[in-house]
Amino acid sequence: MKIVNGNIISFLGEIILTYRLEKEIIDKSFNYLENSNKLEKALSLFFNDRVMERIDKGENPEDFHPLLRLRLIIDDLINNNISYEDLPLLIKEKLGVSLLIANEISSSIEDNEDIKKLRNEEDTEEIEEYLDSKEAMVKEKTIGYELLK
Amino acid sequence: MLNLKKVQKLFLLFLVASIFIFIPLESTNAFINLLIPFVGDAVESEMGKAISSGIVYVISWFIGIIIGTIPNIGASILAFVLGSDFINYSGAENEVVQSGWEIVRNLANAALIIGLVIIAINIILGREEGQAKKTLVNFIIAAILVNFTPVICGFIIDGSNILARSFVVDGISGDILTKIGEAQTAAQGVQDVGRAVGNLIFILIFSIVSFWVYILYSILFVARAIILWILIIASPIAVATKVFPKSNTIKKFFPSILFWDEWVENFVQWCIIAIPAGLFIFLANKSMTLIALSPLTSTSDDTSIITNTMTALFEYMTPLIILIAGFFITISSGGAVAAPIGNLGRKALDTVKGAAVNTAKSAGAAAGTWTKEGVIGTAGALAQKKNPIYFDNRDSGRMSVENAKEKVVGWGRRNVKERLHFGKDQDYKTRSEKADKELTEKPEDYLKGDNAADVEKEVEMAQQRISIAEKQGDKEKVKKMKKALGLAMLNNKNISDERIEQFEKEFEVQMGDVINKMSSSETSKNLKDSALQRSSVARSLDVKQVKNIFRNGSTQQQNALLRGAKSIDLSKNPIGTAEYDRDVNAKTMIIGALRTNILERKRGSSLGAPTVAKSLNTALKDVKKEIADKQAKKYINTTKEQRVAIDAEIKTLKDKELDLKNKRAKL
Repeated sequence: MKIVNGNIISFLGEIILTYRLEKEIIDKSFNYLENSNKLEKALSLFFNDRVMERIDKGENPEDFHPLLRLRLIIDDLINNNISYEDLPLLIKEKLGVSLLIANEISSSIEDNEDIKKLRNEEDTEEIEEYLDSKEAMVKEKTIGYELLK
Repeated sequence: MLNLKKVQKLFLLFLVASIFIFIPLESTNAFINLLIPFVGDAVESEMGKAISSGIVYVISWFIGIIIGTIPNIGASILAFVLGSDFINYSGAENEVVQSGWEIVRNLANAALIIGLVIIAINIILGREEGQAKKTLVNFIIAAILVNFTPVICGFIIDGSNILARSFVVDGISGDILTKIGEAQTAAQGVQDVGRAVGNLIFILIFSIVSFWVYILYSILFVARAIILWILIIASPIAVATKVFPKSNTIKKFFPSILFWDEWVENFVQWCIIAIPAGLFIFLANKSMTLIALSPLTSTSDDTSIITNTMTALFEYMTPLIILIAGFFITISSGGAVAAPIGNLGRKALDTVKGAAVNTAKSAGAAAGTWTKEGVIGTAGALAQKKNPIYFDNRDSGRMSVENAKEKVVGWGRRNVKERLHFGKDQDYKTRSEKADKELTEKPEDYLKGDNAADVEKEVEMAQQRISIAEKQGDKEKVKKMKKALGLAMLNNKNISDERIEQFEKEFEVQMGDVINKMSSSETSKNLKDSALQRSSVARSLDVKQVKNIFRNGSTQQQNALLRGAKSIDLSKNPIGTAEYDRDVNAKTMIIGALRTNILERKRGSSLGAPTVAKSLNTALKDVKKEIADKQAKKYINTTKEQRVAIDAEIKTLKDKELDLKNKRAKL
């Protein structure tokens, strides 16, 4: 399964901050000023005391964290489980925003080149893992092993 | 705002606590004596005295029946099993043993003949001839010894019996029973109702404890006799097994005491178990005699309650404590074989202890607990710079005191043997062998302790062993040990990051590289939550390892990894440097890969991924796996024709794959 990269995380963090969806997940220490880069800001949306406390209490981050919920939608998108047309309704439902804002977010996602590129890439990881496990099953010193080597 | 009622409550609490904590024992004693006349006014009159004496007499009569009977029963049983008739009966001259032994000896001879045939076949065929000839020597020795086991066993048993009997030649002393009788009479004669009842309850508890101790020793000696019979009966088979190799199959044929190793262990332990038991009975007898010669207890009414109780407690309990301690030491010398009797003793003591504690609790619980918790809570809250007026703050204070206490008590609770470094587990040879074995064979068992000082000692031992292995030039072993120790240190929460850095520097090992080279499944197996919450570990993992932890790791591991990633400090390295990029990548990757089982379920249902796309993806994955399967099987024991057929199948599957991809692209 393909996963999002730093550029996409940074882009998603920007969406969260632009539409003010971060209120429930940050503490007072969060720095809105521009002295840290976009990726650092996106990371601190997740790695902060407030989020960690809620996780320690047994809450699942995907239940309350907008960045993670958005990432899940993008996961489905880059793995071709959903299409761009599905985005507005999913965003509306999962982030609890109006359809107007959901449409705005969807179009900015559609314009993102990193997501497009990742969507078109082949996912080879699972097959690689599968082959690794198959190779481990072939015992050493057999004719099959020697031939496959 | 301070609540006036709370201030009053606090002042009262302070006052009561001061009485019990700050006033010395003598003053407390005087305070109690001061209270007694107020309570005793009701019984001051002649009529009152007569009634109180009557009550004491009736109660003491009932308790007296119990007190007079049970310790005597216990002592009589113990005296019987310690007597020469019984203790010497555990020998081989017993008829049951003789007939049982004859049957088993015949079986052992049959087993030896089978062993001889196997040895002969091996020698004839020239297979492992050297080993077979060595076994032949063992065979001859075993064949002779099988017929003399009762004599050899009898000799060892007699030796241990002589030693044990030299301690308990007179059985159990009756002095303690005489003391109980005296104390009972004294209690009945005391005019003070409180003191008389108190003394009687104390003697009752003491009688029950002494009865149990005697019974436990009796069970131990009876069990010893019977088990020694069984061991003598099984001895020919055990000797015969010396001929066979120590394999699991042989152990299945000769389980438990039928196999030589276990038989010897059991036999030696059950023989010598009588010696420490005898020694402690001897010591208890001595202390009883000494106490009887110079009694500490005063029966005078003038003596204060506290002084009287304390001296009585000391006087009665000394021999019993020696017997109880002796019992547990004896049981521990008996190893696993005597454990069931030890458990019986522990249960009995817990019952008596529980009863005694409950009686004490019912007398002083209300005031005691309230005062103690109030004082502790207040002190704890003040130590935490919180206002002790509020209940929550006192509760938090109590918690902090409890934690501190657990730390101190935990330290003290540790095995005395460990602290003094004696006993077979504590010598250098055993510890170093244990370190070698665990570091090379069972690294997951190393550094499991939770005491920082002990853990550091174990680390030092492991480092010494690595240095020695380095000197011996065993590079493979050194590599294995370094990896094992590094991982064990990462997994132990008592070891600081600085200590791990020091180890890495000293032994030229980079744990980050070690972790990075692990397979993803090894990562979630070897790295516990204590390791994953270290920033150094979180930044060393690659995407497959992180995914595996989120897929197969426990919730604790997943949360620990998130904490580890959080603790990566991005401001530590300047932007643009390789270290900064690595740290940012680690955090990004963890957000990218984070998922839990619940998340997977939700994605399937509530996120509502379109069914067609999902089924197409599943079908595509299945086809890809099938292709991979065919490719892997192609060269394993296949003929040329079979390989051509497999190629054709692969081609069909690839066409199917292309078709599915096209369909997905159209969505």
